[in-house]
Order: sequence, then C-alpha cells, then structure tokens
Amino acid sequence: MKKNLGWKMVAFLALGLAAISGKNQMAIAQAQENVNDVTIYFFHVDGCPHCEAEIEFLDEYVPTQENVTLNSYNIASPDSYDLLVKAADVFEEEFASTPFTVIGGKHYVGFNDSVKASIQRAVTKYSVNDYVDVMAKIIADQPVLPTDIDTSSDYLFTLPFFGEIDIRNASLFLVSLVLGLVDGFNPCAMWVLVFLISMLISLQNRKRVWLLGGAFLLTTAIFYFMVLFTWVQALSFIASKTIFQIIIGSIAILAGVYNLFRYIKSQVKKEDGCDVTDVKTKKSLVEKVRKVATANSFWLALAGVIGIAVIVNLIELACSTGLPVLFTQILALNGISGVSSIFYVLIYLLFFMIDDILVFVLSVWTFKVSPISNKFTKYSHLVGGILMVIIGILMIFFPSILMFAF
Amino acid sequence: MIKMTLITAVWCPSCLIMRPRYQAFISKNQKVLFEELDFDTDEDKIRALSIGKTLPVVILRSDDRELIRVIGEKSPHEIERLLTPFL
Repeated sequence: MKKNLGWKMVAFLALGLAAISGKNQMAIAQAQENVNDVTIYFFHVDGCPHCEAEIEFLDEYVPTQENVTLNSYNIASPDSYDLLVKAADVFEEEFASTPFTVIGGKHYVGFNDSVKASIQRAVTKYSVNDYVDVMAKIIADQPVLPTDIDTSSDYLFTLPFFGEIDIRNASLFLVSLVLGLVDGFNPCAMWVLVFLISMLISLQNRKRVWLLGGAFLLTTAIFYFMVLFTWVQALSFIASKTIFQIIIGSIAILAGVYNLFRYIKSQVKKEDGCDVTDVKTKKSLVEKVRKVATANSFWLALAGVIGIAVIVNLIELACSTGLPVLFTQILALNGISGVSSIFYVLIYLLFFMIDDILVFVLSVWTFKVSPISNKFTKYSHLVGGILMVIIGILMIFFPSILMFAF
Repeated sequence: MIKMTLITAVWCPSCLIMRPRYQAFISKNQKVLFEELDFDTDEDKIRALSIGKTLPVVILRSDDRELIRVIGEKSPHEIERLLTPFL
C-alpha cells in the first residue's frame, strides 16, 4: 500500500516536471517555427489599482514579444465603454468591469499573478496554434460563434504516457492527497475509534461492530466535509487579500515549526508512545464510549456514537487546524469554490480517513483490534511540519506558485 | 523474585500494540511475576511510581529495587535486548 502510494506520488511529481518541460518545448517551437500574430485587447480606467498593475506588466511584457500587439482602451471614452459592454456580453460576463483583457478566444477579468501567468500562457498558445480573434470579430461587427470562444483549460499539457493532463487539476489533486494523508496520520483522537471497536468486539456482535463503527466513520466524514466545504466558501472572499495571506502564512510557519519541534523532541526522547495529556477529557470520553457500546437499545447506541463522533472531531479539528486551513486557503486562492471544490474536499477527506478506514476494516475483518503505531504520528509531525513551513513561506512571498501560475 | 509492572491506559493505542508483546515475553520467562496497572483506575499505585508523560511503561523490579524502566513502543527484539540481562 505504502509502496503503491509512493509510486503514485513519484508519478505525479514526474508529471509536474514533464509539464514544465512541455512548456519549454512550446517555447522552443515558438523560436523555431513561424509564429502567429497575437493581439491583446486591454480595457482599463484611470484610478483603478488593478488596471495600473496590469499596465505596468503589459508595458514590460509586450515589447519582449515580437509577434504581440497591444490595443488599449480607456473606458472613460464612450466608444471604448460600448466595446467593453459588447465584449462582456459575448463572454457572458454579468458586469463590464475593468481590467478586462481579451486574447484570441479567451478573456480575463481582474488582474493578479494568476491572470498574469494566464495571459503569458495564452500568448504562447496562440503564437503556435490557430485561433479565432474574437475581439476582431466584435469590432468588425461580425457574428461570434459559440465555437469561437476558447473554453479549453490554460493548464492543459500533453504528457508522455498520461496523454492530455490539466496540470493545475493534477497539482490540486496532489495537494489534496498529500495534505489529507499527513493530516490523517496526526490522530489526536483516533484512540476513540480504536477503543470503540475494542469495546464492540468484546461484545462479540459483528453486525453491531459494522453498523456502529461505520456510523462513527460516516459521521466523521460528514462533519469534516461540512467544515472544509464551509471554509472554502468563506475563504473565497478573502483568500487573495495580501494581509490575509500573510496571516495564514505566518500561522502555517509557526504551526510547522511547532510540529518539527515535536518531531525533534520525540527523536531525542526515543519514546514512541501515547502522551499523557488531557487525561480528564480522555477519561470522560472513555466512560461515554463504554455506555454507548454496551447500551441495550441499538438506536440509543447509534445516537450516542454519532454524538461522540461529533465531539471527537471537534477535538481533532482543534488539534490539527493548520493543515485543513492551508488546504482550504490553497483551493480558495485558485478560485476553486462552490461545486467545483467538492471533488478536492472529497479527495482530502478520503486520504484523511484512510488510516481510520484501514484500522476499522482490518479490526472488524480479523475481529481483533489493529491500532496504528504512534511512530506514524512522529513522522506525520516531520512531514506536516516541513510542508507547513514551505507552504507558509510560499503563501507570504510567492503566492503565485500556490496558484500554480508557473 | 523479579516483578514486571506494565502500566497502560484504555485510550492508548501504543498500549494495545505493546500488551501482547510483553505477554509473549512473559510466557517465555515464567519466573517473572507480571502485573498490569491501568493508568485511570490504579491512580494511587501509579502515582508512587512517577511514570512521566508517556505510555506504556514497563518497570522491572527485584525486591522493590528498580532494575530497568522501558517507556513507549518497542519491538519484540528490543524488549528481549533490554530486559533479558536482568533475568
């Protein structure tokens, strides 16, 4: 299992590297073959800070591209404003806001590092591929066909063995998988599941073990899903604010350093075991689990298990807030929210719970409790600590990398 | 008489892992007297042993003199290596 997972991670890393090399190949093709002319249509207005930032970028970028022409429109002029309204209508944007950029069949609203990278990718793509200049059609009063709009992903690369891969989706998939897995191996409260299973097994009722243990896992999954999904939606409004990135990045670095400190401490002590902390809470939970597991009424036991799972997950969340917050912040930074975030949240959840699921299935299958060694917790502190520090630094100093704006 | 005291807790997965390992060791060394204390229910006895902040703990004693203390998870091989010289 571990070996297989390792292979998959290596494959994805190779995929990322291959994607970057694919981008280089495109640049080489551009240098060697005849390149198409590309026009950037840029709508802006005075006093708009994002417009200023894009003007600064385009003033630097366009002169370096021989085949690129820049057409700028200040929408203070009624003609330019009318053209922007037409363009916004064609691209089905609700509001005609600035900065608004059109290249070929693609358009970008607003400006940040991600848009900057997308503009460069679009120029590279249209330089070597046939395309429809939608703005030219709008200006010439020609009808724009639905097929003229370029809905392809900016992050699509053709890779050997894998075929066409959306590198941003693959990167977000990998982020969800790794962060979920590391978070899952930091089990502050996994002992509750283990204790519940051992109590249920002692009653020698396999059906009850499946149902109550399964209810515990299902409640955990639903609870964690709701928390992560809500965070993504909330963060989508503030994720791109620099001050917020600095706050989250700083918290990530502090949490990472604390995790590394715990790893070093456990290495020095050479004692891989259970920490004797929060004994009162543990004792109280032990009593609750005992009552629930031995309750005569199945429905009472079920309600009790669901209640305990909610309490346990509140503890778990407080104990490992760093990684879920980082994960949801990365999704929000990439503009992933609403329905599109569900897939990544589910991937995070699957790998977050994979150790719980393994322990549960193995224990019920063999009818013998099979806990996971605390040595894994130690390594989760090491890997989690390193990841948190790296992501924290990227979030503060190089947020574009976390937006996969290579 | 050598006495082995194993201190565990029901909320400790490492204790679940280590209990059968120590039981296997005892079954091979039957002259050793074995006792298991529960961290939550045998508080008075455990307080006297000052066991620190990590479980499980094994204390090997001879006539109330502590011979060795083993803390946390250990492999069966490590258990043999650490405890056998005192038997």
